[in-house]
Amino acid sequence: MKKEHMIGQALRGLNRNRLRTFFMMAGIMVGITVLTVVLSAGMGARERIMERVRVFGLENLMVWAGGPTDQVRLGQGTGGTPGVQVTTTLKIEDAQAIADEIRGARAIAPFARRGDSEASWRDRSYTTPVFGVTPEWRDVWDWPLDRGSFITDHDNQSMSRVAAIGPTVVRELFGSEDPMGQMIQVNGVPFEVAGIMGVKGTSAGGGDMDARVFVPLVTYMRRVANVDYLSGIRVQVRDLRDMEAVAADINALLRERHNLAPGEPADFRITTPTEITAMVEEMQGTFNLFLIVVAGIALVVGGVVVANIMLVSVSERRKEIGLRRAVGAKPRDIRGQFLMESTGVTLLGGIAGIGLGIVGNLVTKWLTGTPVLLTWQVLAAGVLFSTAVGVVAGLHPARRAAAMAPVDALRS
Amino acid sequence: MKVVRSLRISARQLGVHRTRTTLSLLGIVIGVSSVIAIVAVGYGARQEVIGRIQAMGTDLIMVTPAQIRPTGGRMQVRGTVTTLTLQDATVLSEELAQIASAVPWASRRMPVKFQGVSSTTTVLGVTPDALDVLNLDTAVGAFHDQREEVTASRTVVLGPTVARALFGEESAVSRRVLIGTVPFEVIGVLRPRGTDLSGTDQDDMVLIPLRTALRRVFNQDWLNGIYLQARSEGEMDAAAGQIRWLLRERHRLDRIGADDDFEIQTQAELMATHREIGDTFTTLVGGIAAVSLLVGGVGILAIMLMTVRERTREIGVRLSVGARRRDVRTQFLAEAVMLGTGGGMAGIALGLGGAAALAVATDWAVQVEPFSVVLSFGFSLLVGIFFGVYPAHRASLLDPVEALRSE
Amino acid sequence: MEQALIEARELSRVYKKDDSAGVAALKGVSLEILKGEFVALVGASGSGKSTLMNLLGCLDRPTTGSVILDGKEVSGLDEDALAEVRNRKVGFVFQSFNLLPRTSALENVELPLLYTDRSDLRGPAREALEVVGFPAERFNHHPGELSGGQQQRVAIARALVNDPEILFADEPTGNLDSSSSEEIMALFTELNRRGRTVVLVTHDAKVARHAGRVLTMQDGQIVSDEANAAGNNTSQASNDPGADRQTPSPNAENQA
Repeated sequence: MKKEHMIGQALRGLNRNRLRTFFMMAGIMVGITVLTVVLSAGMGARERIMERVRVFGLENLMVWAGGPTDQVRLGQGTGGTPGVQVTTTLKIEDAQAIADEIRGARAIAPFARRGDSEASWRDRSYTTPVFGVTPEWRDVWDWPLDRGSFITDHDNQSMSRVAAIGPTVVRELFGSEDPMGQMIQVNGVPFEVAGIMGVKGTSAGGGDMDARVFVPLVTYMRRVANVDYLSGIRVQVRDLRDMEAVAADINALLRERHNLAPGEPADFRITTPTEITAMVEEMQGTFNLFLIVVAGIALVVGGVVVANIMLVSVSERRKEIGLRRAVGAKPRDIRGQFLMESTGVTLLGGIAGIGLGIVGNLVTKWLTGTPVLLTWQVLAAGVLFSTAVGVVAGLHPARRAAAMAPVDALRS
Repeated sequence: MKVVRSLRISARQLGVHRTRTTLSLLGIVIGVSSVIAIVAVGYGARQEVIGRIQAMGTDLIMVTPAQIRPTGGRMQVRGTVTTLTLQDATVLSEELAQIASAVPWASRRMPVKFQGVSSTTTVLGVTPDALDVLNLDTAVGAFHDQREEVTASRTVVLGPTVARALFGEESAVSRRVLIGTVPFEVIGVLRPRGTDLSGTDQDDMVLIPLRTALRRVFNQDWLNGIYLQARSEGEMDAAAGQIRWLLRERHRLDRIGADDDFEIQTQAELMATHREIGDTFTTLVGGIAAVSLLVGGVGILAIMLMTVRERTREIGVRLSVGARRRDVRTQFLAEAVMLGTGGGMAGIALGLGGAAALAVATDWAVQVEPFSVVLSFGFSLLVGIFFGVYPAHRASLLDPVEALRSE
Repeated sequence: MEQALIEARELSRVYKKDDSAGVAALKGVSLEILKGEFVALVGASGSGKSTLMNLLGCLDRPTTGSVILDGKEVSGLDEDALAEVRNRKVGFVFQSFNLLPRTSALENVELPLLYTDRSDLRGPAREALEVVGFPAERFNHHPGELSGGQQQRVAIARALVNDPEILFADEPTGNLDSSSSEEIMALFTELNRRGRTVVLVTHDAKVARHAGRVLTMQDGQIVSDEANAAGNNTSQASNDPGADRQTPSPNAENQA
């Protein structure tokens, strides 16, 4: 049969028994609807989970001042003992260079901290970590702000003396009084409380992350600690997958800036959240597998229904098949005809299924609040799979049809 | 027409029209089995996903001496509260049912030296249970065992950062290092873990047996903290309460009316994430199952409608040879019930089988939720019966002539 | 003597069901049909006449023996080659018309054309319908809207559309009333007069009388092969004095 006639013949064949066609379409529609909803809702849920996990600082790496074999390191989340020699080679200019030259870095948060400092207000005092930071600190750490404002670029430019304090500090210094606008002393230097941080909780190591005082980086370095070097830089990467590459780029950049010869031990360290990353990757893997399993179930369902109805259709169209053979159709013509019918049906049913799946998405969202994400990949999957099911499900019935002897088929 | 005869006729009808019966059954079987399998697999996947977060310590309770504010980091010792002891840890783990195990620890920042190279790092003294409770793993060599703990041996497990600083690419195992001024033998190196949630480098530490730390290195008889693993996440609050009560008693705080000389904390943020992810997953699976159920119901409806249309003529014949309308309805009801029940049970069997097969294939903790079985079976049965009987009821109201004439 | 258009050699057809010995519908039949002949196969029900025609028309394969069409052995051909034969060389008309339901007359006639390399199906189909005298205003009607006689005309047009060498018809008037039957037989007669070889099966003596040669069958074998001078025949062999002929009966008439 010439190709241009094949589609017409298939469509006419489907039209001849509309009820049967409808039910085959319904079969695949079921499968594709479930597939669409599964993929959309699944991807939506995965996105939401990723958002949540991002809080773990998944996309961040740390650059620490000081190599592994130096006497004392600062800013590792632990305090150093004041007065001991520290590494002085990590500068604000290094942070700027990273911001300018490393494309994989989305945000840079340089910071300085020299052990713990004494914060006092009136007659109360409390020893706590004090960090000199930039506005990016809140982004890269996902640190919540409860009231007032955090450190701004302007604060750093003008070296202003403002502070944002954590809930534990509020409790220890102010009790139930309102800290906003009050003047506190940090190691003797006066600061105005401009913001109150939200609750961040306990760190994995048992540290109290609500015991914090944040002041502008430049102010801290020049007025409080009297240093010209950083303790570290936290870098947020654009894409989780590039973590190692970005770390390598920063490593190369800093080695060059610090004039380190090859083989010379570095005066800085870079650490990445390997354990957390591994966990998240495994989590995503499990998620994806689940989606595939469910989608597979849906497709098998659709395919089985279509195959069954096709078989019934073939046995009930014996006379037609016999007739076609009698007028000269080759077995492959018959096979092709039925295959094309089944593929056409599943394709139409698949498109209807996608439409119904979109409705299903809205229903799911309304019923359960799960976010749904409809992408072109989901649509393509629907179309692709419905075609595939049509071919596979139609294959056996098509072969059976082709194998019938004309004489037997015509006998009724 | 007697009920039994009616049933027999219905059964035979189902057997005669095998194709039609099979198709109708198929709709129900598929609807029921797919929902059961999906929910079961969803359970397993959810356990997998949240299990990973759990491994990061959602069931950990951290007890530290008070006023020693581990400020932003792990092992900062400030002030001199020295009341937390090894006996406290033992008592807590033995007497509190909600506690599965306890890991007492002590730590200081000290230099670790090897052949002239020195690296100042966190020296952590822990008991062997730390391996499980803190989710540690050795990349090479071994961790401390009970014997080394009891004999206060001078063995150390290095974190990868320290190992690399001191030994470069060479093997560190069996080498000797100095912790402070005390010689130690390296028995293992930890698997890299990278930065933790608060930015601390977890690879920058060395671990020695707790007793060794207390007696030979730090020369102290008090702890910097105790990690306690709760038996289950749900019991954390109860456990925390019990811990506080027990420690206050042991430290005789009530007698002198003092505040707690310790602090109890949990990984609140981690737990919140744990819970949220679990919930997200549950609603996702629920949503998928609901959609499958609905779609399956539509499928059953379609098939039922098709078969009844085909049989309008049959209804006409029966009416014309003297069957009462009631007889026709009974026949169809019986058929629908048999079909629905048979299909439903076959669906349950298939769903269970499918769940079992998936459990083997994916290695997940696949578990069938009884609710899904009941719901899908009930729903499919209802739909099948209603749409099997209602159209037949409509057809039975026709004149026999009209019914016979329909195509 | 000219070469036969279609020749049967020792054809036999045995139907076996399960492990039984089987029923022999045809027992070693041989015959020759020349171009232009109008042949009728007659016999009682079960005589094997339909079986023989199915074999000659390449709808079925013989158990033993061979069929030779236009000098080529066709009974041993593979399915694809056989399909070609059915498409080009042979046209079949059935007792129950076997038109595709819910399909127009025109599309029904186009059916054999689908399995050729031609792009234009409409043209030849229209022509075929015109040749059989089917009214143009009914070209788009479905079988359900046509009378028996009209349906059979469509079936004949379909059988002719690829210009086959032989036209086979199995009880073509079996489902028709007498006036339609007459019209259809007149059509066959006309087609034969224009040179088409026609072989038909019938149990109706009146129908058989249109043919120029009548083969009678009984129990799977040919028991008589007679010429019917009153019947039709455009084959040259009708002028052959050596053929076995019966004297025409006085009542034989050309029923037109």
